[in-house]
Amino acid sequence: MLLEYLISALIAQGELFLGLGLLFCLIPIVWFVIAILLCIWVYRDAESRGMNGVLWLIIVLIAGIIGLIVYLVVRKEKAPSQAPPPPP
Amino acid sequence: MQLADEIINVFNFIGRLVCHQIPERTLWIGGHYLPVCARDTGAFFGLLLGYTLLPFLRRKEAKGPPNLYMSLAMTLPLWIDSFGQALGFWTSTNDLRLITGLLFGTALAPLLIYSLSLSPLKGKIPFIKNIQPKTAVLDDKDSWFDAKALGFGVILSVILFFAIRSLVGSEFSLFYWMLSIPIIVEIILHFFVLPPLLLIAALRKIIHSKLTSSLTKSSPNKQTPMFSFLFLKAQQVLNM
Repeated sequence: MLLEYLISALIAQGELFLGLGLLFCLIPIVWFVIAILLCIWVYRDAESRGMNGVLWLIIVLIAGIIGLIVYLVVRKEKAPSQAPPPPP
Repeated sequence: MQLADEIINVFNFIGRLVCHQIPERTLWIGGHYLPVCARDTGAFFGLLLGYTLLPFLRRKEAKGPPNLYMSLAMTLPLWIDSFGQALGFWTSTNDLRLITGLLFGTALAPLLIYSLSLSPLKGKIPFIKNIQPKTAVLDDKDSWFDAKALGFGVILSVILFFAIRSLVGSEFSLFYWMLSIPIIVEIILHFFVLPPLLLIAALRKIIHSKLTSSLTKSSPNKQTPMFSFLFLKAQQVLNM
């Protein structure tokens, strides 16, 4: 009952669409944040493998998911961590 | 009839949030334009096809990402077609948009599910948690969804392409509902449910790690007895 009343009141005042609009504005921002985090990960991963991090960051930023797949295909193997020296 | 028109308006409103809806690039099926353009229609139905194939064709014990060469071969046509058109080299057709979208969506579904298992949402989404890889290791060569499975996806997406193409221009409204309802459900799930869930899970993880690190830093000796006391209490209660 209360919900119905609230929704009808909001629609009457045209604020429901404002609320929906705000929500719909939030979603692209969230995707944008995810894309940025992905770019940071690609940059760090590329640098840790001795590749050009900035170049891969730009590629992933422009080509999105396709750039990410290309990066995963062409990235180098990680150098194996050095084993500790044997005990004397 | 009026109700149907209102629902179509709502569908178009939701479609407009994620797609340009240019009439020349949108499929006319069942007496109406679909809520999204031909390429997006293809992508959403490709995703649906990919999700349907996953439970049957995934390799349960494998840890590596879906076959990347095959995924690249399936996603590149969409990229080439869209960029070629955007740069003015050629004008794409609705058939090309639909098939490139279908291939893209079919390749994207396993990648999306796999990447979710690398995120804080791993094992938390109902249904998806049952088909996710048990352990995801990006460097592993053993593909969780191999080239053969993706190749099968290509064949099915071509069949789906001809099925959808055969409906274009029809006036039978059932076809409109058959195509637009899955599209709208997928838009809501992928754009309005998944991103907030990801955000909340990431924030929870960050806050949890901050809290635990601050607790252990501030009083490392005091916390251990309290936790062990609570643990013992919980054990007592369970044993009662």
